[in-house]
Amino acid sequence: MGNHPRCPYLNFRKSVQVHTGLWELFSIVWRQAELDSLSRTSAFRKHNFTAILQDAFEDMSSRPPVEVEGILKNVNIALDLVLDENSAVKIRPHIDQATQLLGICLTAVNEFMSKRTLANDFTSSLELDDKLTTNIARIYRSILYGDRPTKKVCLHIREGSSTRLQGYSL
Amino acid sequence: MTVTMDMEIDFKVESHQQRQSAEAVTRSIRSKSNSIETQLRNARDLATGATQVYLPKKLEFVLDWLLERLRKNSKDG
Repeated sequence: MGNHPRCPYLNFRKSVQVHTGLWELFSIVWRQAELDSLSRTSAFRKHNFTAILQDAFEDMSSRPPVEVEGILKNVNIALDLVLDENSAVKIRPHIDQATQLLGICLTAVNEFMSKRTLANDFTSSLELDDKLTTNIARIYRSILYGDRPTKKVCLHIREGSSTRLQGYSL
Repeated sequence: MTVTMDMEIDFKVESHQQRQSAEAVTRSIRSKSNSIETQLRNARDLATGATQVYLPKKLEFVLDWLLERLRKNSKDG
């Protein structure tokens, strides 16, 4: 992360502000109607957004919970915008990369939760964790199922004399 | 005739200034001699319109810069 050797905390703080600011600006730019679909898709073809997300989550482990929360909030807002139904872009990583991303995201969220638990700080983070993991899971689900609508159906399975109901996602 | 020529000269001077300032803005965002904080502030001003400059596809430019910086930020930012 390149912290200053004499005063690591100073650069650490600065970097958090920069990181948060970059994600904030991403959301500002993405909301602009003047940014056409072609520009959005070509930017996503040029840059690996999944790798960007991985970098962001990997970076969380060295940070205190308050700072992680600030960054996660902004990452989640950006993800909400990118994964929106009407969004011009689709995030379709390779299955390996998607699995890695999901794993890194869950690790980051769990670390964040345990740090907060150790600090006896139970304020307002659960909703954020849920939203974030749901968003990352959406990326994972989209490469498994494509854009097909998924719905739960009940399947009757007869085993001997007993009948069970099992939920399947098709 | 004189008026037309004056207008043409004005337009040329104005477009030259605009070109210079657009170039200066993009350079200030891309330049590695500027700190990331300065780059970010300039990029934000350009995207929100706080910087009055004519730059076609300015949002595309800022988005491209952002995605580049977000990738790099964890490594050397």
